[in-house]
Amino acid sequence: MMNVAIEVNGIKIVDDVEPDTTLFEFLRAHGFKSVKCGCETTNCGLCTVWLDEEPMLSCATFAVRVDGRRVTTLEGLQAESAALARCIAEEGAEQCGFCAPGLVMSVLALERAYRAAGHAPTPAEADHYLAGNLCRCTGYMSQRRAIYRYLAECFDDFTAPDLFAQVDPVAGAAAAGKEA
Amino acid sequence: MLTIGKYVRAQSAAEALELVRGNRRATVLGGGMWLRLGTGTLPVAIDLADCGLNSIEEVPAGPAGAAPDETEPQATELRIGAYVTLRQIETSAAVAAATDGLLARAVRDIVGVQFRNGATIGGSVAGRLGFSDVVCALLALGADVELEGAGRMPLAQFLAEKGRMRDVLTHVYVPARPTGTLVASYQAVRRAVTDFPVVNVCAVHDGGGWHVAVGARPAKAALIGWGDGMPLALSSEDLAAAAAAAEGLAYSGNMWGGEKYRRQTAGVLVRRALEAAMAHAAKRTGEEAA
Repeated sequence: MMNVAIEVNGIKIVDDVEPDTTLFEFLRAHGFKSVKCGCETTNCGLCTVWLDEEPMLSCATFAVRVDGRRVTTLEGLQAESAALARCIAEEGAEQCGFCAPGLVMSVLALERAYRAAGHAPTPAEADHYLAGNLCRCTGYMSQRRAIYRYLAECFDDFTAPDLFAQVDPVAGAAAAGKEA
Repeated sequence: MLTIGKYVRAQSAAEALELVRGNRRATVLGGGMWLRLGTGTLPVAIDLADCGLNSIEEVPAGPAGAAPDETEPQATELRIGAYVTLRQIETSAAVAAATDGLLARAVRDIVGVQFRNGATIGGSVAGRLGFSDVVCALLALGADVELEGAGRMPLAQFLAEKGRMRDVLTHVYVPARPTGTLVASYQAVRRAVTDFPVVNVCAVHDGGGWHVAVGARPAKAALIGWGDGMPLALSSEDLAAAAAAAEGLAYSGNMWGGEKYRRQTAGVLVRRALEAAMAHAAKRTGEEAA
């Protein structure tokens, strides 16, 4: 066993862990139930938390490696996530809701990153940033409506695309193939 | 589920090397993204977080201690620490300038931002992973690796080595060529946008010739043995020769694709990479002239 001190949502938690205890296990054992496991293959993004303000996969992070560092979960972002939660509800974006905490962590990280850059993301940049958050219920259309709605509230220069516009898949693929 | 016997934070690469050589099953941790999926026990897991390997620096190239030639601009290279994450690579202005944006394009479809915030360049390279996008791109760029123990060597040589690694990878070096001399393209086929690549290709022209690598064969990236000394502008015969050279590498089938599919797709992607790189160079020249 090893002793670690990890600051979670501003509060220092000191505990003994095994060398292979993941941050995911540590957080849930200490009551942070917003953090979910959706895949066991390091692929789905449901376990996303912030480590020193950067989004990370808690399932693939050993707790011993984050001794002395700062972790943020959704429990610590209740005020900051309220507007996004409202947009998600307004668009009926969720079905089972299991992916939502990880997705909210990533959307808020996206917002912070682009606020720091001083401009809105494009819809393509937002989609790319969120590619690591999988959802098994919705097919992403309702999630994207909610996220674009939220980004339009956050940034004056965000233009939501028309998600129902016809896209030519052949022309799109041909254009993509010509990019370096 | 992986079990770790003992976790050690090495205070130097030399200490890590001693630990690795002292225990056959001691393992250096990279990001841990794939390592955690293993079953069985790691008796000793070594963390290099305290070894100062998480920065990207531009350093003079050439042998240490060589007198600089005052008539030539000093050649430089990027010295990338093994613990630099794929996301840092993706967002680094210095890496973008040195590689014509290639490394960012190579890593951008790897799982997600959170994954890339954990995955390290050292873990990707040391694992000699067949599907690795970053290894394919670094091979075409002519990167070197530096190992505590074995010293510095070309990535191609490191990839060719067999058996368990008994050294500690500390740095990756990428030549930082003057702006405008390097043009590059990265192409891959993926079944879903953030999945493993079925096959990946990188084509780089560095002013001296073309360097083309094919990876995820599913074996690790290899150079196609064509393009040395060739000019940027290629004829259709040249493109056909490049595609044929790519198709001449060894391929096999797995869950992501069959041998024939990979071989044929590799030929197509090599053509696309070369055409895209040439188009990109022409556009850049046009923009500079304008």
